[in-house]
Amino acid sequence: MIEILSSSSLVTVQDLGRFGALGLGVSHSGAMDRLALMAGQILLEQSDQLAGIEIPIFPFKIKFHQPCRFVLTGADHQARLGDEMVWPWMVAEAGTGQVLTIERAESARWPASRVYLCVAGGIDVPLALGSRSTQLRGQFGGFCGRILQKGDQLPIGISTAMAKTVLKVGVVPPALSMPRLREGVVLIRVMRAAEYEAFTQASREALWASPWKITSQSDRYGYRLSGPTISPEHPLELRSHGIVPGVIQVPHGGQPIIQMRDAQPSGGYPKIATVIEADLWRLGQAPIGSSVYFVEVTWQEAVEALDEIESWLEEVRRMIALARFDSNGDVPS
Amino acid sequence: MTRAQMEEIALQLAGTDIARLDLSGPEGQWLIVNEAGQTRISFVSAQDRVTVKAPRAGLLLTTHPLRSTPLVRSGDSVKKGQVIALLQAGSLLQSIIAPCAGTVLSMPVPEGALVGYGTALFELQAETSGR
Repeated sequence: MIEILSSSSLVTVQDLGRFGALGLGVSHSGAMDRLALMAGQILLEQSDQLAGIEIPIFPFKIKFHQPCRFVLTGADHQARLGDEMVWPWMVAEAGTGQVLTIERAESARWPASRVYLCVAGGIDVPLALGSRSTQLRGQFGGFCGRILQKGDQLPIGISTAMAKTVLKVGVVPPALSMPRLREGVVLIRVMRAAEYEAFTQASREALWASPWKITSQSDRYGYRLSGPTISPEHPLELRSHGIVPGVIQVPHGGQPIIQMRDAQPSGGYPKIATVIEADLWRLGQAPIGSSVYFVEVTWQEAVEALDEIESWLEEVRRMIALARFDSNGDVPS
Repeated sequence: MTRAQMEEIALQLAGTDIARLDLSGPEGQWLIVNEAGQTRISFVSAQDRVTVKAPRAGLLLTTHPLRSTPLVRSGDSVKKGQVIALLQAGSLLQSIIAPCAGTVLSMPVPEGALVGYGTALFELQAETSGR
């Protein structure tokens, strides 16, 4: 069991998300940076379907009430276990009673906003509609359907890995091994959406040419962007229809909104583009106040981008298995 | 070499612009540091000297990929079990752990160099030294 010691806001239990319930009006939820969460679970030699804790606000402090192997992935940060330094993206081990403190990074080579705490055995909250992710709007899933509070005691699942020696390994964060930047600004790949042609030519050109700032009115529901005004040729009125994370809507003000993991499953604003699934993790880490560029890709390129993510994960799984093999001393000399 | 001999050398060095004298022998390593005429003599017995070797092949990282400052520097004191470097193989990072508490004497391999199994990565002075 782990206990939350800090009164930080917006910290939630997340797994990869709740799928198949959009028709019931239930959004996906799940980690904003699913790659960081998956890498954390793989590093702990366990299923990538287990839940971890998403931490967007610092400092964050917990106490371990049992021996526990853990890893902190996602954004860079300064973490200490007792008075010992804990390195990002590297497996560490806590003893009973030890306190883990996570603070903001002093300077970040990779500007990112969310840290993921993964523990051996996973955060063992009950499944709700097939997922452990927190559904904030519906107030279910995760821990009591809400953001974590000081004093919360979270159960940890039984870990088979604890029987083995700890592998003190880590991985190079994917933002460093698969960087996508233009002039130092994060490049997000998107596909044209249904109403793309309904916007003026100047608006369409501005979509590709301008950097888009992520405003302070951005959260797990959606990112509100600021940049040139995007206008339709004629006023557009649509009935509410299904939308998914990644969809870029343009409301009447002409400033786009990107739907994120907690987005409601329907909306009526016209859609100019959609962020491809393979870049949602990258966007999910982009800090408020930073900017992104959009670059157009085809369906085929979007599918290939997903393949690249899958091969990165596969490579990490293979390397961890190899490190375990090495540590067992089974390698023929 | 005796301490008396080293003190005599230190006296000679004090008047020169030689900043550092490093004398290694089978019994250990003498080091004289000369800072503007102020000399310091130190000795590390060979018994207290611990070599940390690469447990496998990889690229030696003395700095975490997300950071710009090294995990440890020459002269730093380290705790037993502390991560002092990383060995990168593909996307995998393997920790190089201090086998004992002590001081980092030298790091002979430069950042980013490819090392093989058994390459000496660090020389540490173990803290158990009675001096």
